[in-house]
Amino acid sequence: MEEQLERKKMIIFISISFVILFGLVIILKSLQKSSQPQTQLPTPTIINYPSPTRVELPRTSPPKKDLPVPQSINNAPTYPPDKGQGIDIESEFIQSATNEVQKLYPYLPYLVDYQLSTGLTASIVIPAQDLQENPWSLTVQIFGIDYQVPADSQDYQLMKDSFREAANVVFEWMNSYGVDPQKLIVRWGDKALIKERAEEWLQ
Amino acid sequence: MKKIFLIIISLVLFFSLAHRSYAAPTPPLDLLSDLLKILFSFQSAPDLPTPPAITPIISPDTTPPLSDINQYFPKPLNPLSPNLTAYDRNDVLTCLNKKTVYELASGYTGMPWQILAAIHYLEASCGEGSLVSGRAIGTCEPDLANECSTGRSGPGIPIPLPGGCCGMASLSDSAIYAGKHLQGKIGKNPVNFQDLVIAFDRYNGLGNQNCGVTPYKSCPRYFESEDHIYPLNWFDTPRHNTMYLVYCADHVKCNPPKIFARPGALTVLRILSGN
Repeated sequence: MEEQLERKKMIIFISISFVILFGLVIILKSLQKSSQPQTQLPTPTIINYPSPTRVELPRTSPPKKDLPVPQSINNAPTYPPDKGQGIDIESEFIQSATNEVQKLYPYLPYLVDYQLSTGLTASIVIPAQDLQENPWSLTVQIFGIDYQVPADSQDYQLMKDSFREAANVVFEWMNSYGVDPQKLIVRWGDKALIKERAEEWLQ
Repeated sequence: MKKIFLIIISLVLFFSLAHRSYAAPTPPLDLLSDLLKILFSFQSAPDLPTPPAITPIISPDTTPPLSDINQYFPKPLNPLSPNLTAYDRNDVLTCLNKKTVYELASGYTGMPWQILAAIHYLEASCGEGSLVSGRAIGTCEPDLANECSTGRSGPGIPIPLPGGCCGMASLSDSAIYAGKHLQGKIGKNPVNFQDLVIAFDRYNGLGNQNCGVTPYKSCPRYFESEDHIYPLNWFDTPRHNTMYLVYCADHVKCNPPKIFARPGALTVLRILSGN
């Protein structure tokens, strides 16, 4: 009889301890949830991105004659190793190019977008004097052209023609201020591949 | 009765000690709940891959001070792309170690230091490489060929190097050069989101614009360069979640275009400015 009572007590004790344990788990879980920061992601909203400016761009046409080819920086004399190397800024070649560039400084920056006859839009950026990379060359950037286009691509001729048409605009602008493009050194961009492509396409 | 009670107590103690031996110290509440999780585990282990372990030198909790950098973000600003991981954020925050360099260059160029840091992150992961191309300082920079002379020196000006090529004398010089160079891309200091996106695109080269040449879904673009990976990859969700690298090398297109897996420059800007 006493043994049976002892068993009953044991069963009751085990059940109570399980109930307490489960209760503790539930309480702790709810405590943990309430202490966690809310990590609900905000829903994406429609952003007021700047809308494209719709302006009538000046239109250009293909150059009618061969383009004047500016001087190449690759032909510029350099200092020998014992004088420290780099571009020889005292040379006649560099002095002459520097003088030509200086004639254009008062008219910079030149920032104009053009609608080319090829269908592409070209943005021409010639920065002001303080943003020119060096005094002996004029940085002229023509954006909107893919200079990386592979030579066997169907877009190659389109890019080449577009570049030449935009370059002609720049040359005509230079002429209007009495500057001969052939006496200048033009830096057609920052990357070596752009400079190489531009010189190749102007030939 | 006593035996059962002792068994329960010893079980609890055993699990508690076992957990303490293998786990990092945690607050008491976590320890208890972890213990209960072990005892009554209904959750399966997370199957997400753990990002590679890195030790951020600056705590990711550090929130850099807000400045007028906010002028470069559209309003409202959607959340960053979910593709940006905690690892990427920590990696970007290592740029704070070179903040003094960027601030010095900012003084010369007027460009906010975070923009210079963003360029450095994209070019050299904010390491020791230059902001021009990520190449080591003091080595030849092919893009600077014929841009230097012994007769010309100053902050941010390339120097002649042995062999006749040009390079940068210091990291701060490369940062000054990069700042001016970025301004030169649009002919002025960028003043808003659109200016900065276009400037960054041109800094990288237009070849990586996505619309028309990749499976990028958010076309047409809102303005020039809004579809370019360099400024905007992972900038917000859902518009810039998945963008593609178009050129894998000079004159070589990726075939097919590859998903670009790095934050864009304006994404870096958001992280560094706590946006």
